[in-house]
Amino acid sequence: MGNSESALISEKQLEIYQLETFFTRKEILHIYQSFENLNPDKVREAFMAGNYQVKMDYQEVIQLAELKYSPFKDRICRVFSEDQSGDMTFSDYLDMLSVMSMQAPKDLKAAYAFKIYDFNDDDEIDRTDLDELVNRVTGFRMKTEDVDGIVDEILKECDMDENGTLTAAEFEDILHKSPEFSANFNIEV
Amino acid sequence: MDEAEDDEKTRLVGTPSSYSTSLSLEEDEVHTNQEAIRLAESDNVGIVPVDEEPPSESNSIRNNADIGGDSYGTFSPTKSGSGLAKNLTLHQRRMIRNTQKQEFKRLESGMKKKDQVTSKCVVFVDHSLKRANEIKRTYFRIWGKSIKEIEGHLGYMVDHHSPKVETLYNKDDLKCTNPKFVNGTGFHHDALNSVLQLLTGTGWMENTAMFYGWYPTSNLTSSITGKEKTIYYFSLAYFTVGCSYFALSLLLMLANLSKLFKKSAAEQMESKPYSSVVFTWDYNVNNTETSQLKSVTVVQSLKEELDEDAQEHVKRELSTKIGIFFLRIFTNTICIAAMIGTVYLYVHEVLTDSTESRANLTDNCGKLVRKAPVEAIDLEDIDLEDIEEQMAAVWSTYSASIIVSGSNVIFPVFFQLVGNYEMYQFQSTRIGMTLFRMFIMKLFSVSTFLYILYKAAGPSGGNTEGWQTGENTLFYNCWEDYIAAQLYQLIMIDFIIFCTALLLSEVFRGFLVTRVAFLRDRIGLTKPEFNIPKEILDLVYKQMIFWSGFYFAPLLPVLAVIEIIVIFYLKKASALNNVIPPKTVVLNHQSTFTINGLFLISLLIVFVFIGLVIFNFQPSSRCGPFRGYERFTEPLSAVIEHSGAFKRYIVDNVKTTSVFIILLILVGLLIYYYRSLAASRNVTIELLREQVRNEIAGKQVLLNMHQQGSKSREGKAGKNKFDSIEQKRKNLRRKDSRMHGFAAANPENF
Repeated sequence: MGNSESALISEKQLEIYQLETFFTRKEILHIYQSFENLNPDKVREAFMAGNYQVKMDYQEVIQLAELKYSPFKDRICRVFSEDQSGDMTFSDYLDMLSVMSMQAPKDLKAAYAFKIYDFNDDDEIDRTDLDELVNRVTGFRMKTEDVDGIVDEILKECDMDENGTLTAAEFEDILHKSPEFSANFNIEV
Repeated sequence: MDEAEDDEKTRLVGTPSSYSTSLSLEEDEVHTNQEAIRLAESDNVGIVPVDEEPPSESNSIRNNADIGGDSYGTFSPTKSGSGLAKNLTLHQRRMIRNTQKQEFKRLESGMKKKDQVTSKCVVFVDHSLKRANEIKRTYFRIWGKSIKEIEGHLGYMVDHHSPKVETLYNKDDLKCTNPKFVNGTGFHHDALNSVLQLLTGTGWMENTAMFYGWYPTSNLTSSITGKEKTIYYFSLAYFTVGCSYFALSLLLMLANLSKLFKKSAAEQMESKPYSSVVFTWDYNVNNTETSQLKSVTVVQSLKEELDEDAQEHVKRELSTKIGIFFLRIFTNTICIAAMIGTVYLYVHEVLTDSTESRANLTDNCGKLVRKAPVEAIDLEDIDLEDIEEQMAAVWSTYSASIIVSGSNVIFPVFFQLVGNYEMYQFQSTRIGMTLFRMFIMKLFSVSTFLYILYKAAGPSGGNTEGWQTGENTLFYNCWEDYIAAQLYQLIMIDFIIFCTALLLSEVFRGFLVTRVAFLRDRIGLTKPEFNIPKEILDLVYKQMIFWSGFYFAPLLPVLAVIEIIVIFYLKKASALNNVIPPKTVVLNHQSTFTINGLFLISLLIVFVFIGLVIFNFQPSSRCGPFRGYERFTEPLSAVIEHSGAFKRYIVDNVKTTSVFIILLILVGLLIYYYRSLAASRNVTIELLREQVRNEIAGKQVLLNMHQQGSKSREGKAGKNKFDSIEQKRKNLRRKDSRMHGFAAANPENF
């Protein structure tokens, strides 16, 4: 199994990937295997032809078990894909898993979490974003008044400059204090 | 792709200053790496511009502290580069890395030979560290795959990159520096007999390295090294290894505890219940069930949090308060009575004051051992009466262990039921009370067990007569072996009962729930919940037993490791099929701190036990490395007396109480000092928070003034009109640059 994969990705490429992500060679090959399983023929063909930029459609990417059942799968794919459409190349895929691995530093994770939770992509988390976030996390089970109350509380806790939105710095500050965050913000393939 | 890369390479070649002349940029920051980043950003269509983090000291320190293999900062000559380059995609990073590589090469060629060598060394060390980390990750990750499976099923549970509990056991094994020898002689042909003796830790087991009695008192001499013969005093070695093992455990635990205490204290001050629930969604789940369950959990904790806040203002009526008060007294007395009852039961069963009944005990067991014939057992020969007698004998040997282990399985269920009736306002207090009671129960039972051992083995129990004279010496050669064997039995029985309980509570119930629809739909029977704190308490309990047994059975840590491995795989199999994820998982530093505290308490109780045994009992004269000595401490004191006068002086004086009192006073002073330091730091934090708020307000005022000023000045013909927007912004920024914190990091506020 190892030989056939390493033949598809050149050594030089593996070296580069190792430098750019937090993974070892073995882990990269393992990740490649899971990437291939999304659509074996397409990927294998492309890689054998040397085309490393083959894109997996959004629908194919979310077949991955860890993503399929996550309430944030669309945001994750959007944030990590190059053109924001959700279609990911192998680089994007590696990037995503690298950021969400155990070895990534907390700050990096916090930065990406901020991007994921910023639903309207305006560089700050405002009330609408928080509303959406709470709803998704509770599986749309709570009433609107409760959700509003919770959003109020969150803003009270986190918003340092009291302008009604959370900036990246405030967000990361909050997450830095929580020990569970870096443990939970992980996907392992 | 390579061509594209080459293109960008050519464009990026050159000094940073060439960028600013060739392209129009904002004039503020002029860091080299930031320019490259901006360039990289503007090249990629659709990438969201990245928020810059203020390249402050604390930030870069945090980055470097967190990093266990960061690849970005390797080639960058400046620290700020590593701080900023991380928020980018692979593609961007690649471009930056190439820029930096070339810059570095350019710089390097301009450096002196000496500096070149140093820089190469730094790079080499960096690479080696990364390699070492990688190897550590690939090969030393214990149970990584298994834990991944469990976590995928049940959600995040344990920080398996620093397995605290497993290290506790592994370090036990590694520290056991006694020379280990293979099982000794005394091999019984009869299989049944052997198995029984394996269970009871007598007979052939006594002759193994497992038990204290085996260790010789002779001294090993080696004629290899040098001029003098070095002598390895076994007795001294045994004593020192034992003591150092305990000392090391204590020190490690205290170090860990102090680290956690700091973190938990910080945590308490800055608790953000809502944000920490909402922002820390667990991304590890890989099936719908768990995902659903997680969102339900989140809903519940949020609701609870809301209720708590609401109820802070709602007080219960006086009458209900009194009612609840009495109810709780009642339930607590029931619990305490139950605990004392079980304890009394087995104390009464086992402990007797007369040597006569102990002789009977050994007699029964002797019968048990001797009755098993050398020839094979014929099934027809078995009598009912015989069996009864044998069962009675078995019970009398094992009764203590069975009661202790049994109580540890039954009582948690009992406590949980009681907890349901006590009408606590908050879930957390209910869970806390149940766990507290469970811990007290376990502690109590083990302590009483140790107490019984102490009584039975000690001189007041007729030590000298019972073990060393006459026919009754067949069973245990010495009292140390008796203690070791009893603890060993406890471990074995505990393991068996644990397996049975696992079978009944999890496997059987899971089977019922999946197959028998009636129970699931009508009665609402569910699979049992995976209760992490309960498992942890169980581990604390097991560890306590191993600690108390260690001094008398030095190979016990090996057994501990084996048992832990087996238990892990059993629990894993059960967890994947028969349990549902826990409703609340509390993982903060405070809970870890409490757990370590529990370990410490149990260790201290073990210390008391071992200390009493060492200082009060006389080593038996028939076995063990201390035979012939009057006291256990004799070898050590002999060594001290033979060494120099200075050492003797120190030891003599350290033993006095005045030294102890002085140390106590010093420790008290240190505590007072640190406490006042912490209090003053709290005050500083509050002041800084005020300052941040004031500065933000101040900046708003400045902005308003500026806007008003520019409006009023537009009417007049002034030179200020010709100031460009950039100029005005620059003026404002210069004022800002003196302010710290969030204000400076949010340029979009302007």
